[in-house]
Amino acid sequence: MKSSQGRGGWKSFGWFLILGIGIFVFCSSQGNAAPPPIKIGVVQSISGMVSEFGLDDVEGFKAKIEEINAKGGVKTKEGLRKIEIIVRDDKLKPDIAVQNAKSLIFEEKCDFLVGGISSACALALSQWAKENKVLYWVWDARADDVTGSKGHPYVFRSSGNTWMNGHAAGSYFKDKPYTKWAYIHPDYAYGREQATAFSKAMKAMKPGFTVVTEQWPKLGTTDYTPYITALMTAKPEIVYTSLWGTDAMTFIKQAKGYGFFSKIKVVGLFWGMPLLRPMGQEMVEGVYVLSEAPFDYPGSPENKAFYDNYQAKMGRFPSDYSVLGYNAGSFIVAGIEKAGTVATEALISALEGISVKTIAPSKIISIRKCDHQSDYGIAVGVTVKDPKWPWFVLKDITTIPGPPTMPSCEQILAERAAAK
Amino acid sequence: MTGVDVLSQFMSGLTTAMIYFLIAAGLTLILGVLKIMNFAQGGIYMLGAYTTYSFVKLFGGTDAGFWLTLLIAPTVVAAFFCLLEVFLLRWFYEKPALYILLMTYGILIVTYDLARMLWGWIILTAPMPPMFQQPLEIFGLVFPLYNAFLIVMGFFVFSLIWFIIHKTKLGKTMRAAADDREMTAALGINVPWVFTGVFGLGAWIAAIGGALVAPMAGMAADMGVEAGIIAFVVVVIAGLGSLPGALLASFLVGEVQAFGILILPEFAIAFTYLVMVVVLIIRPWGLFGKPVVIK
Repeated sequence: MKSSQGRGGWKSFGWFLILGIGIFVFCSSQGNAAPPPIKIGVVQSISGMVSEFGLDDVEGFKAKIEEINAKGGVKTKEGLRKIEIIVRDDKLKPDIAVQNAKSLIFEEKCDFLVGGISSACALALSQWAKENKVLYWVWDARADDVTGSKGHPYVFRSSGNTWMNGHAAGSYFKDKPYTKWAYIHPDYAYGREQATAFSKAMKAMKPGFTVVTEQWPKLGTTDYTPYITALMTAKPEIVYTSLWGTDAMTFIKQAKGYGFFSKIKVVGLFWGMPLLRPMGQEMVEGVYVLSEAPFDYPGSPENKAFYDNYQAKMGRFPSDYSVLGYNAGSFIVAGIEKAGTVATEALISALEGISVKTIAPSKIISIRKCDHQSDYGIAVGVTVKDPKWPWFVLKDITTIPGPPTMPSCEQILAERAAAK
Repeated sequence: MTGVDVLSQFMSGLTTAMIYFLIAAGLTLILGVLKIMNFAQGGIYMLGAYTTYSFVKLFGGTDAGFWLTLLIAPTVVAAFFCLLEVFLLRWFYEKPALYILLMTYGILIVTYDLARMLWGWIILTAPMPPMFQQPLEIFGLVFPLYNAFLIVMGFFVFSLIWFIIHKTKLGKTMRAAADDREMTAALGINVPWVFTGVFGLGAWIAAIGGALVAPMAGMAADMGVEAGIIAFVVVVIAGLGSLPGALLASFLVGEVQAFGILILPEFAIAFTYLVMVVVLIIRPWGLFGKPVVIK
């Protein structure tokens, strides 16, 4: 009796165990009924002079993604899916950017790529994306070629480009009395393109426009004094500059010593928060600034929430670049919701022509179908002290909407055909 | 273009020249005495600038605070690099030159990350001390007072170093150690400490260069890279190890740059290297360099 009971006891126990495991597995699979997260690979330059801006792009993007994840995720055909971001630094080197892309897509199994502040890296990555049929969303690199002659169906850009920047500036300054201009731009592709774009725009729109001198200092020049005195010798009425980051700071600090700003007007491209904040009270009043997201606090309720959250996380207010990242996030989330999936071809179709509401100067921005370029606008203002803040702000802000400043679709298609 | 414009451009060139000199002088000193190419020189310059920023901020951006900072900050940085020399570089003097080169390059990379760790990713600038915020006016020329100060400091540093090297016993010891390490040691002189002293002096010059530049420029952690390249080019033009050569070379490069961009602004990026190429064609060992004798 005893032995048969014992044998029967073990047999029953075995069955109970199998049943129990089966129930457990069944239950846990029910718990995992939520679809897997969407994985976005970010390839960004967070090195050298561009570190702060590269980081802002990423953090602005993360802010949007965290907002969406807090609501449970983005709505797709499979249900609500959360978004996971993996960030890689390309160290401003195109070959590392491509390596990062390969690793993110093939090893980490990301669904698509986002990023790009260095145009050299963005162009290299764009080429790779085209060959591998991977969606690549560019959020800050400015070279026209990205959506111009080297554009293709798999690449999108949510920021403006140099053509648009130059034409926006042109449409503002054609109404101002200045005709004798001088340039000082950093001597590399970005500076050259900005100068060319502005010249093209002004020659078309402003009769009597001349450039009395062009100065081309190297990126990272420590001493701008000879350039400053060379500019003053040429006696322009106004200077147009795309100097940025530490170069812009150094130029302003050294030019002040010469009384530059009281003799010559200055237009600083992208001299928004990233420059005004560290300059503090050392900034100069009366400088024209083109900025994609002028400091605006509190602004709308969404704006205030964005600013407050960013400040709490990063210890500083968001900059133009943070807004760029945030808007890129808005586009992508809207695209995924419209397509219901992250499958490449469907997502591309959904993104073409899509519009989103933003925290940018133009309240609605869209992606143009012919070239996948957004019609991001830009604001022009004049620097002024503000007793409420330790930095200068912009007054007399005029918003230049994006669409009229863009190159025509015919032009883009012609450039792409010529490049083949 | 008036005479005042030419004078103005000349003075700007002089400003550039003095900054270049401060970056290069330390390098040439270390090269001349220790016979090592210190790749970390740009990093020392950069840390000098960042440390100055912190001290100026600490002292509230006042004039007195600025003078204090100029005394303290470069000394702190130089002391730090003396420690590095004692603990990291001393092992490699007797070894093949490649080890020390790699070591100094490694130190450069570490200083870059150190700066990022201590001061973060955002760009910074030291506020200009209030006393320098008025421009100077000479012969109808407006010239920033701070630039004039920088030029004077450059000459002061040159005179100080020259005095130490040629008119003091310490300098004599340095020159002896540079010429013949073994004989100097045989005379009972503690050569490793002399080397540390020279390294510290070279570091101090670079650090004070960074300190002086801090109020007149924006700072990024990689500002040392550009400075290092300039230092190298100036030292090559000067002749390896020559201090007066470094002054002359800096002056040459600064003025060619200043007047070059008046005439041919398109080639701004090239002038420094053009000077180097021309000098090396005419005098392959640099302006004041000695031809290398192969024994």
